[in-house]
Amino acid sequence: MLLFMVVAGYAASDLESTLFPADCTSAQAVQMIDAFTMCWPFLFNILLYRAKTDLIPPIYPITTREKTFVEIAYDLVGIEYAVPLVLNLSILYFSAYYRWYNFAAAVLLLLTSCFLINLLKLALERKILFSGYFALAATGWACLSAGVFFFGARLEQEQLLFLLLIGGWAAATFLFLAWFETQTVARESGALTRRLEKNLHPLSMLPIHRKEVFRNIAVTSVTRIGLLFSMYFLYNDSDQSQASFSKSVFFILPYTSYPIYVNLWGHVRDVWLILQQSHEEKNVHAAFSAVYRRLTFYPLLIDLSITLIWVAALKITAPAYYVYLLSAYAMFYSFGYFKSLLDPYNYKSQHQTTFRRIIMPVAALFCINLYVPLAERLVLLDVSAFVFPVFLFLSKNARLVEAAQIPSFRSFI
Amino acid sequence: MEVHPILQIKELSKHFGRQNVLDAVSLDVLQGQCCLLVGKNGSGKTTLLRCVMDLILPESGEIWIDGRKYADEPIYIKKMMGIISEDNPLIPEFTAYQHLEFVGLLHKIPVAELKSRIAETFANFFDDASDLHKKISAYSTGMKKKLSLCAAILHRPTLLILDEPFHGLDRYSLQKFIEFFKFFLSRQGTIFFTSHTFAHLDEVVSHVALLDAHKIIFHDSIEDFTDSGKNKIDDSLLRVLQEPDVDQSVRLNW
Repeated sequence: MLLFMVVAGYAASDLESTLFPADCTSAQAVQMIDAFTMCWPFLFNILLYRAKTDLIPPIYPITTREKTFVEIAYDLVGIEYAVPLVLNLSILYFSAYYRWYNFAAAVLLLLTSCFLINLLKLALERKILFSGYFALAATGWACLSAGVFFFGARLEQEQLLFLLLIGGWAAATFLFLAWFETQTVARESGALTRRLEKNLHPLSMLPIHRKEVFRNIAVTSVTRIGLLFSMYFLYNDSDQSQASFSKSVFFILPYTSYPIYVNLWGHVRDVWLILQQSHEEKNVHAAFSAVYRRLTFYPLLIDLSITLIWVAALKITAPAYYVYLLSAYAMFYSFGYFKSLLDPYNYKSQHQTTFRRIIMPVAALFCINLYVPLAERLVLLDVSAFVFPVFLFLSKNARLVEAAQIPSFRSFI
Repeated sequence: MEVHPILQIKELSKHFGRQNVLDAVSLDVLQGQCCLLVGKNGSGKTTLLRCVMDLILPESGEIWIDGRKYADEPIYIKKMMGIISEDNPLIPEFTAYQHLEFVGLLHKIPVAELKSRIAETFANFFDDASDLHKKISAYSTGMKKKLSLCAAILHRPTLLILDEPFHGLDRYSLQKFIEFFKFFLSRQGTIFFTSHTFAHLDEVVSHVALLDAHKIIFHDSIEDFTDSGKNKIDDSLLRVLQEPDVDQSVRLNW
């Protein structure tokens, strides 16, 4: 560790001249360091994501509190948190721009990411039902933390309190879930189990292969539409004067749309359940399943595609923007996991694959955009903006052929 | 000496969606018994074991272990159980020693005693002591199974719940497992396990529970199941499960 710190220190001293060029303000530089601090744990957790989130399987005789602390401690000493911490320490030592409150903010950011990631993992592991309230809470967190960087633009001493609030919020929620919520699946109350059963989505009533078919059709259709939207934005929306408005609208849109979707879906589900009780015909299931799929994918994937392409079109260079964009993706796909948990067939491994297929190219784009020099980055952004939907299309193409061979489902395409 | 039930399953039901997996299953395993749970593939054996291990919640019914319920005394119950299950994966990045040390610490085995206990347990199942410091990712299936058993018994449990403990074992290692079972049973331990490998099990199994059509259709001593040893376990099982009117011949249009 000592050797690592020495090497990191030398690297940081060299990095300082890179991060703090003559034409770069201290606020921008600090923002870049914070971007790294925030994105690094996310990247690690995304690239090394394992569906089995439990470090300690629930068969061992330890209390929930012990388990929580062990898992947190294990995470915090891991490379995903140690590296940015050492880097920040080194920069604090070597740089005149970087003050103690910047460092304190970085530590807070690290703790916030740690708590947030563990919060999501915990919720997944314990199969806590994702609800509109949770979505609203996540929205609030994301918007607040995004606001610090995007609307304040600079991180000042007084904003530490604000960050502390965000970190405290994440930590409190995490600890609440860790200690007071159910320990394992078997710890779930009867009421929660009944809720899980009631919330099974309509496709679960269909045979498995048809369900896959629906999923693939929907994903492919949405990808096509997302591509069209992307092209439109690339062509039309390059007016820099609108950047501020567009930035706030498009960035926050994915967050706000999800709670709306949850409420909308609640109504659709109720209608479907009523129909389900009165009709047993398969075509009723199929029709409502199709509606469900569209509702599921449209607000999520279209928003994400548009946001990504929009970033490319307007050539935003603020690293913090990409950090939060990536966080948005990570959070969104955790939402997908929540939804998958309502699925009685337990598609965990399949979701994991999908997660990697989608998130990894996005993460790769993110890395390229951060570390490639600005001029080349702009070109790369334009090119790479098409990679995500094309990749998604290709990865699903084989399944699409299978789908097309089932005539009864062609009508839903 | 009065023998009390160490594991009591009462009217346990579990379904996944509309699929019924366990339907009011009841079963008692007494202290000192070695109970083999058998049944067809997909009959719900693993689901039943997972319920017993408190990994999934049954829709109804109760599980009592040593007169206690998970809801009341989970730590006590987990301390007395040793488990081999898919839900207790080995950590491939660790060496066998690191994994056993990790498990030992979770079971709160005193650190001073842990090293010698790891060495003793490992040496009982592995001939090559250098395997202890090999990474688990380099282990074969059989070695992993042996290591799983080492981890399951490191804290000296009194009840073993084992899901397919013999899968991937060679004949030599299988015999070591059988010998360990005998040793464990001689110390008033209780074993409840599933297996599709029946060779030599009649040496240790005292009771057989047969799960079919979501219910326990047979639960009695091995003597009753094998007609006092006239039949082997797998022959007896086939006879019970095989429906007389069903044609078992190959129906492939090659």
